Amino acid sequence: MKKIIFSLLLLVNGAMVFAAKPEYVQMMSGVLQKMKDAKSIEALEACANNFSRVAAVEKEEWLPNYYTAMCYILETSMLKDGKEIDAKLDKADALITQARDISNSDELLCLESWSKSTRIGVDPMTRGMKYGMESAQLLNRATIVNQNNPRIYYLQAMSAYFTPEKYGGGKVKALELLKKAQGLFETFKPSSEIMPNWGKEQNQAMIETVTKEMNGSTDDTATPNNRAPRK
Amino acid sequence: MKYTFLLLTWFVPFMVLADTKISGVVKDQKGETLIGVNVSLIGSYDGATSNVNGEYQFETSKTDSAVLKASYTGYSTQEIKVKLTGKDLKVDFTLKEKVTDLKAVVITAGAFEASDEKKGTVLKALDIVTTAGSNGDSYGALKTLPGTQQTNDREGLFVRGGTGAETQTFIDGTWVRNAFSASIPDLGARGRFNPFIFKGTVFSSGGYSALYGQALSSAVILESIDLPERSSANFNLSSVGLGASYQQLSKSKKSSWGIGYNYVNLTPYFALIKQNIQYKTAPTVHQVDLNYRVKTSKSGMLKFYGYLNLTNIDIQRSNITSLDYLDANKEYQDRYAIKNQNIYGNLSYKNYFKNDWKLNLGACVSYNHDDIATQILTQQNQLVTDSNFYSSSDVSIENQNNVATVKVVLDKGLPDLNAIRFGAEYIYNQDKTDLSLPVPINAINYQTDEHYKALFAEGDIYLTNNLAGKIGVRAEHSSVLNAFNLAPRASMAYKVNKAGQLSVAYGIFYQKPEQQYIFKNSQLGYMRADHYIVNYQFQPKDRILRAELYYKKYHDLIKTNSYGYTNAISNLGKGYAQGFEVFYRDKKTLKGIDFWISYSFIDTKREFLNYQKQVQPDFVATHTANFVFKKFWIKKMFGINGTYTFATGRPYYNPNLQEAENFMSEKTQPYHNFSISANYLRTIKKVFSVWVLSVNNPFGFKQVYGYNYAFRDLNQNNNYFSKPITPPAKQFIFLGVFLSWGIDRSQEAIDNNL
Repeated sequence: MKKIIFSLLLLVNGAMVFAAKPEYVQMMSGVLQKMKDAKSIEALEACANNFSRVAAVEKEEWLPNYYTAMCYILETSMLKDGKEIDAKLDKADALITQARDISNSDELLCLESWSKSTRIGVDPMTRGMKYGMESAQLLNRATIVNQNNPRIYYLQAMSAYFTPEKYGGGKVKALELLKKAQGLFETFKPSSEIMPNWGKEQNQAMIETVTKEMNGSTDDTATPNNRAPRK
Repeated sequence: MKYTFLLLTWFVPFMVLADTKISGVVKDQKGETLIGVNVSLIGSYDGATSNVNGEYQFETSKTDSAVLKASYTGYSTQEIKVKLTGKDLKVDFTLKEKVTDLKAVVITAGAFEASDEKKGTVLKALDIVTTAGSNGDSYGALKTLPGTQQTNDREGLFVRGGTGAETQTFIDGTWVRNAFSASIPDLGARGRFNPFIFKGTVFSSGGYSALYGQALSSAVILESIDLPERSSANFNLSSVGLGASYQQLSKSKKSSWGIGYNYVNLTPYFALIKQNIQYKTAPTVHQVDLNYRVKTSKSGMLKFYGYLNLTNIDIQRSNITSLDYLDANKEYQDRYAIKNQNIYGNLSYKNYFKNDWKLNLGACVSYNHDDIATQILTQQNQLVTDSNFYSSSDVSIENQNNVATVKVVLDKGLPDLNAIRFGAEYIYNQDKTDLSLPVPINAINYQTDEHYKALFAEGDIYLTNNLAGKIGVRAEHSSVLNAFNLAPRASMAYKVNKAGQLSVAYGIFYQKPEQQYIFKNSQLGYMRADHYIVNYQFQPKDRILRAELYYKKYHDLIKTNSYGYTNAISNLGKGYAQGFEVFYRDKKTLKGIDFWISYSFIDTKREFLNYQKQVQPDFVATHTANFVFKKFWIKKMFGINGTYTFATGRPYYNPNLQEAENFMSEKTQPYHNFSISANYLRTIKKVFSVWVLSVNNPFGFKQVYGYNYAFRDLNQNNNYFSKPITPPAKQFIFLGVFLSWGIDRSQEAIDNNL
């Protein structure tokens, strides 16, 4: 019985992929390219607006909301005011919640986890415990859905990097997770060109940073000034 | 010819199919251009984002009529109908700014708020417990804020010229009758509740909301925590006692329950560190906490908190009047013993409904019983037979109060943050006192049964993001006074610029006289205070400056005469308080150090109780200043917190100066205190531990709160003997470890789901 449901689900899923309109895919990949090149808040905001215009039309697709939220999360790395960062993340979280009504993709759990861990940076002393835990739990849930998603381990590595060794974090642990993510990035194939496929380069860059730091200094943790993983 | 026409009509649609270019400028109502506005053609992907000059431009292949929409965070969305014909279109938008949480001004007059959830608060929930000198007492931390007095010798929080009884505490909206634990005269009292069970604290030093009443000076409004993040088991051991607790979060994460037990016994500590009073029984406390919290729906939350506390203290100290004999053989001892039982239960329910309705329901019951014995003993521990002391040589007092309250608040959210709030409150309050005196051998019993009812309504009015007001009114009736009252409240805030704002508050506040006066005279009426407050707050990133001016007028305070005759108790007392206060907090200037400075100046006089005339009361220091700093080394997981407090001397009554103009004319020496605490956080295996060492007054400043005088001049040398009121020891040292086994059930959830 389980198998039948499973294959039915696959079928429906597959059908939906096929059903995606070509202009939708074309529009999404166009904006994705712009998002990759975006270097300012204004550019990211333009992409977010563009994705949300698509979301307003394609009410059955979760990716437009996913990417809009991701733009907002990326924008926070260029903001300093905690209030503004929270406002962006509030918007991102609302979109992720909307998207989760459509899909239970592990990618949405990863993105939500990233959003939670970004909130820590606003006030590490009072937020570390609450959001750190929520963020970790979301990644744990993502492993249930798809344990081969490399972004899970990349995000875990980032939070380990900013967590002192005494609390189960540290650079050694971070590197271990980054290596695991590296292996999975090698084999990861998104099911379509517009599905989430980010993180490989950042993961590689982090491996180099951490390796260098471990060879160079005795410092065991990083300062939690900006916890958002770089894009 | 006919054909060409036909052909033409045939071709027209094709010509229209050419793309339409749409462009324009987006501005706000003031004419400022807006950057980043999302302009879209509804039903299509087409659209653009406005640039630095507010300009947008895009092309669409759509034809016919369509709707163009401009949306921007913090502004109302605007839609404009357009006709797409292939001809260039120019469409400008003027967006109206919405009143939003992020931008709107907050009324700050009179209120200090500690919260992690609300944006832009002065303090965080954690600040309450990490302030050195507070020793894990919420009220201790509040004493570092402006407006409070360093009355560590008395029970309660003394705010802006008010007594401790003029400050009342509310948990999840409902009034708490016995917010302080059992205490001994001249030794002060701690708050009953563990600060860790609260996620938010509002300390109002005046002008508080119409939702609360029966506090002349100040309201401390506490909000309890919701579901814990995970299950955990905790254990603590310290120089004052030990405790354990367990908290379980259900698998669905929809409900949790917890139980805790704490045992405090200061016998070992007092054996090690000498006290200047003799403890027959050092403070001994058994305390049990229970909680149950459940998410009843997506937006509903039901919380129960239960508390049981048994406290026992028995002390002896020199009887001052007997010292006036100047005869070592006749030095007597005052014994004061208290057994306190307290039970408290609080049930609260909160839910959000359709159309922005919100319901807050609170119910609470409490029972408090004090068994107090005061005796005067000879050096052989016998009751004195000396006729000068006999009448008060053996007094026992039994105080009991039973309280049940229900409070309902309905809140209707309107557009642009406007809201109306209204509700009702009912409190049943039974008080009993049984007194037994040696001479004449008799017993006196008092009892009152009070039914207190209140109705209240309040409106939040946001005119713009920069201008907001709150208007409220509260109507109360007390059965024991058999009197109504109507208390209006109003406040307003105006944002001067991005970081600065000005607030004002006004209100009338009523309070019933304390129980002991109502017992003796049932004809008393409400006491009343009128508050006027002006506040300026400047809050750039990581810094905050607050300055506040206030004037408070007291009417109908309780007046007794020095002998406490029944018929002499009246509402004829009066007084005023005025002053200014400054608070500055800075997390930026000194790298990694978070500090705040508070300063209060007060000018107050009152004629109340047995005061002979209107004077500065003996619980008020004219100038008070606090310096609080916090430093935490994240890499080392180690932190140091310090608090330095200064207050000028407090007036006291010296009966040796008989003339009326000398009443309360003497002042104590200035008060200095320094507290330091260090904490170290460490995870050992799976156990999270916090190690705390705190020392109060390490430099041993001499602290004098006032003087106790002999009741009579027994040796008739025209000099009443006196003794300073001091803390029982110069230093207080706390050393403790808190261990926590966090049981993260997410792994279990994973296993169960596979």
